[in-house]
Amino acid sequence: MTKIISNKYFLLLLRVLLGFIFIIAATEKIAVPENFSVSIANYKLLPSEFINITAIIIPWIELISALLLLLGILVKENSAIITFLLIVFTIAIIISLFRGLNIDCGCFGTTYGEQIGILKISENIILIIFGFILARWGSPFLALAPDIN
Amino acid sequence: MCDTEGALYSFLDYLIKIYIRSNDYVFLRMNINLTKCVLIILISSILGILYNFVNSRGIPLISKQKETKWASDSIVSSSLKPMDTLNNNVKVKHLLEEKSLLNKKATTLNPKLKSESVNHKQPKPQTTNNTNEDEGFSEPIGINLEQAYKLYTMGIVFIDARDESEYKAGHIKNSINLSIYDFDKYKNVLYRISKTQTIVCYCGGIDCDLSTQLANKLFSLGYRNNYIFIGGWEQWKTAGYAVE
Repeated sequence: MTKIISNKYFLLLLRVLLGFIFIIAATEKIAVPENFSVSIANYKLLPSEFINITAIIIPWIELISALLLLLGILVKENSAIITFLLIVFTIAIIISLFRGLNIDCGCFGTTYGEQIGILKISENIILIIFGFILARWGSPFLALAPDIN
Repeated sequence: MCDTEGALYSFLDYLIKIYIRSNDYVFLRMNINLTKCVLIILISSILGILYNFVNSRGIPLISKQKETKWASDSIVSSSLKPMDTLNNNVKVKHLLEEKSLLNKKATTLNPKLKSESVNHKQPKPQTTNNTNEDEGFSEPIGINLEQAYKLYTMGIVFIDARDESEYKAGHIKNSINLSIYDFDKYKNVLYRISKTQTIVCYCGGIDCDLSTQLANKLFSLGYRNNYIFIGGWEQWKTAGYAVE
């Protein structure tokens, strides 16, 4: 099993997949931060003073980490950041579900509006596993700066 | 004094050693450099803030809590226009006939409603020209159960912002489903509604904000006489008003 997971082609596939998903997720949020701030506000988890700053910063962390991941620069660190973000998002979704909130997930901005639910949690868990694998094994194959890792 | 300083230095030394260990090679034994992670996050945050300043659609760093404005009864009454009734006389007649039955039912379910009951007015005959443009509200306005029922009995269009499955499970009678999640799929229902008409958006209940999202969306599309029934489906159902 470890042999398959640590296979360089498999790790490259995970890297490209996570990279693209997070670039797509970040772009609309960056272009229209107001929509993302509304999505964050809908979770009713953050004090209103912190909503906008979170909506401004998080998409950029997603974008930069995803770009670096895609290019193979600091793969472990960027995978760890993305995994951490995914864990935070998943916890937020679980809390909202327990509170009976019927809201848009805001994961990919508002263009691909997705309701929070078990499906979204399952998707996130799969991505967390991918992120964890990349953080554990890295992905030096076809990396722009493999020696930095 | 020297002992205290010595203890402080040893403690700091201990903390630094922990930091170096965790930073260099012990973070979950995955060889992840935390300093680099923090640097990436810091640089991204700075870029985000800088971009927000130059972005034409940028937002203030500190948000002010936006609260839904509540409509006064006079606003609700004055906003009613005969054309709001979808010109559906049968529907209005049917609703008015249902009124006394519903009030009885609601009063039985919730005695408080007796004191809150409203006098529903028969809509006036249409005398105004439908082409008159109405400027409408400056933003969608929240209404309570009583006001929502008042508008309902006048035949105002109610729009359910929940998804199709929730709508099918139960909704306000004669309401239209326009799920905010599949707005593009459902938006053809808007062809039946004039932009000058009064509309009421609702969703699950107080904790649900799909109605606010939908109301804002419709407002941006030009539907300016736009109410949000904050209590939504839960309050309506509990009050024992018409459902299907």
